[in-house]
Amino acid sequence: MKVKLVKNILEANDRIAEENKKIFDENGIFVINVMSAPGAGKTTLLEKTIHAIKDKIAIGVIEGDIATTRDAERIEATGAPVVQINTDGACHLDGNMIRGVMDDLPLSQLDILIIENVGNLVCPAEFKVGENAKVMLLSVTEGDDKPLKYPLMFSEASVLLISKIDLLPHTDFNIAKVKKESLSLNPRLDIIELSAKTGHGMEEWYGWLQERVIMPALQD
Amino acid sequence: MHELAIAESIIGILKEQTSSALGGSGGGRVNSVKLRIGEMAGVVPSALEFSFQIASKGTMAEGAALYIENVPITAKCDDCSKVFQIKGYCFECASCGGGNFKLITGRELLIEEIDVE
Repeated sequence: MKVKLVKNILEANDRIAEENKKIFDENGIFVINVMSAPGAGKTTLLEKTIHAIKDKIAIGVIEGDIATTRDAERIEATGAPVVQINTDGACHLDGNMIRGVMDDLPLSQLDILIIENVGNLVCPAEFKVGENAKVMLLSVTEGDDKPLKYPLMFSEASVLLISKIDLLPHTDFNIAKVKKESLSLNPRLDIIELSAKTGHGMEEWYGWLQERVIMPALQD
Repeated sequence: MHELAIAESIIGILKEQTSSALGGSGGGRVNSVKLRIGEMAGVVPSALEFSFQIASKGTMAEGAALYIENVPITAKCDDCSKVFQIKGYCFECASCGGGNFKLITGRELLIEEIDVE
């Protein structure tokens, strides 16, 4: 017997992600899903961001990693509540993994939840976890051919952070080309150039993040 | 790399659907599954077939044939209204060279049909 279905394969994940999002919304939390290739600087960006804004905004972190707890330890040192997900080899986080750990965070006290995905430019883009926005990092040392090689990630992101901008003079990374190609994939994409090391562009990034947190003090 | 997760999701849906197709009586065997997968989904067909073999072991879909229809990326240009195919991830209008367009196909990740007995 042939059965016509036309059913979205990731429907179960999308449904769980939607439920997660509802829980985050009820707690008034703005959730970002941070994605990049390994080594683009996700954890360093988070460390600096937490230090810079934690007095004004309560930040929690979910750290996705294939096997180690190194990134979670670095975040823990900032004083922000953090939970670790070891994916045991899986190349991305999914809605169910987030559901499994969210109760370990003080949800009612948080303004922002940062989910650091597994370093990978392909798979994380396909799996929603319950986020309000996807944040993508591309470091200048990775090369400027990435938007067209990994179009899904660029078309799903709300903001592209071009990181390690302090290293630009040492590379042949063409920023204008990356911006043009990224915007052709995603005309609504915000793009910020920054260096977590020198601080260049970081204020703009903090501003982007804070604007999106619904906090009475910030709306004044 | 995410092919295994996709294969596991497919098995989950097959379990659900075969029992409802057979009136909730349980059991049933899946002979074949037809998928439509867009080029943007970043799925490698041979990796998905391999993952499906592993994920289906011991289920009613073990040994089922997997037919994968690849869906090319197509878009409609906002400037000249032409519908065109995007080849080699070259994201510009094949007709006017513009960069404003909406994707029509290429994001699919669908089970289209299953054959159960």
